[in-house]
Amino acid sequence: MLTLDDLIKKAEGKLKTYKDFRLQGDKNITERLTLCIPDMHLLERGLNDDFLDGKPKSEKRFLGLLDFLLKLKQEEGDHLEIVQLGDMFDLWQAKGNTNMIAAGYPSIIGLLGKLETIYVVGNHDIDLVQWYRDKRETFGRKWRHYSEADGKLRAIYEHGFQADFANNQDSLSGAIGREVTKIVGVMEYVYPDIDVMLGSTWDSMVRAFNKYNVFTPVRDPEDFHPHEYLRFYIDLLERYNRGETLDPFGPAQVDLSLAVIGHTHTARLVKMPKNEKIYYLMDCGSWVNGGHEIGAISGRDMAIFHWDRGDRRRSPWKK
Amino acid sequence: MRRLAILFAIAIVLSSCTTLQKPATLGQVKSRLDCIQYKEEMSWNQVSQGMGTPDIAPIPEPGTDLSKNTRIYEGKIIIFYMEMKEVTEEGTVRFREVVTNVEVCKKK
Repeated sequence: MLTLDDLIKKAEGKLKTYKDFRLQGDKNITERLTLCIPDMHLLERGLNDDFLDGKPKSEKRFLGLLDFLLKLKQEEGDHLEIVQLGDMFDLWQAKGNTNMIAAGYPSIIGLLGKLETIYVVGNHDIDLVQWYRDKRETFGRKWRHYSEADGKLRAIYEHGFQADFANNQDSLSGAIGREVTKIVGVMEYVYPDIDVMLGSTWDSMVRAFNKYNVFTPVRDPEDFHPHEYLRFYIDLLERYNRGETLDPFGPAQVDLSLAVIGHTHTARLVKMPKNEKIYYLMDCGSWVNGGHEIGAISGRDMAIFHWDRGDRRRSPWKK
Repeated sequence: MRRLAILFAIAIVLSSCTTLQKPATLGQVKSRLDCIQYKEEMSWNQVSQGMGTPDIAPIPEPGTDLSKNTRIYEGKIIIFYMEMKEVTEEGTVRFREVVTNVEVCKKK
């Protein structure tokens, strides 16, 4: 199994630890190098496409990461696992479905497929598991994924919206949040002058609902936590460890200590001891909105990395 | 207050529209159409039986022996079937969308 230090070396300077987000767990968490790609929000390459961000270099940068991963996959085979943590497509802002997004980004979608990526569903692409719910067609999307080590489940991978009051699609508040976000988009499309008609009220609405939601605790800087979803995920991991889950795992098969998520677009790696165990929460941040972050776990080691653009010139003033 | 009232009135109207919209499946779309699938060297009879008489039959291009010509149907529906194809560009793996099948349809 490739270590995180080996991974950094192989990336030849393009993979850098984000802030100081690197930890060593008290036990093995994976038996293979697992890389997690957070929110991508692919759209039809229009003006509101967060992935492209108005810069063709954004696509090139992601393709650079995928080229690196493809080379790594050829060397490592099954010892490398790639998990896309949901919100690969932004179907809330898309004009249609995934169809024309595939036309916009064939290489990205094709390469992720070639890498045998495991796809977890997010709140912005949850339609993928809802269109054919009665036929159980999910287009390879999973609600959550797990890692095993030493014969036990040790890590759980979810998008993270499950912990979010305004975006949990199983709850009424989440359904309202989603509809309001859609309405804001549709209103501007139908009535381009709505901002003039409604003045500052419109600006406040757009600011609040455009991509996130006013109810999302991550937007509340006054209420400081190492991570606002930490309690939710420690509770979830503890429930799994006690066997209180609808998934087919008994307590003997489960010893979860890490939850890996995206969704908030703010990368963090935190740990918290509870009931004589140490729990970890890895929020892999986001690929879009300037993030370009990925999560990585190898054995006990876990880190959040930043994929460098790779074309910056060294300042002549720096030695 | 008046602005807020207008905003919520529009929101209620539009929310009912957005929740009604569901993406159509290919099967649902095709249930309203008569289609013929393009195959190389298919007979003209198959086309004319499905589509009827062409709207325009242009005169043959100069330099042909009159047996090479074209027929035009106006206002028909075309369905393109797409797939991803792996290609190599400058030594790197990339994917392109390619058309694998074409159907020409008319409304029932």
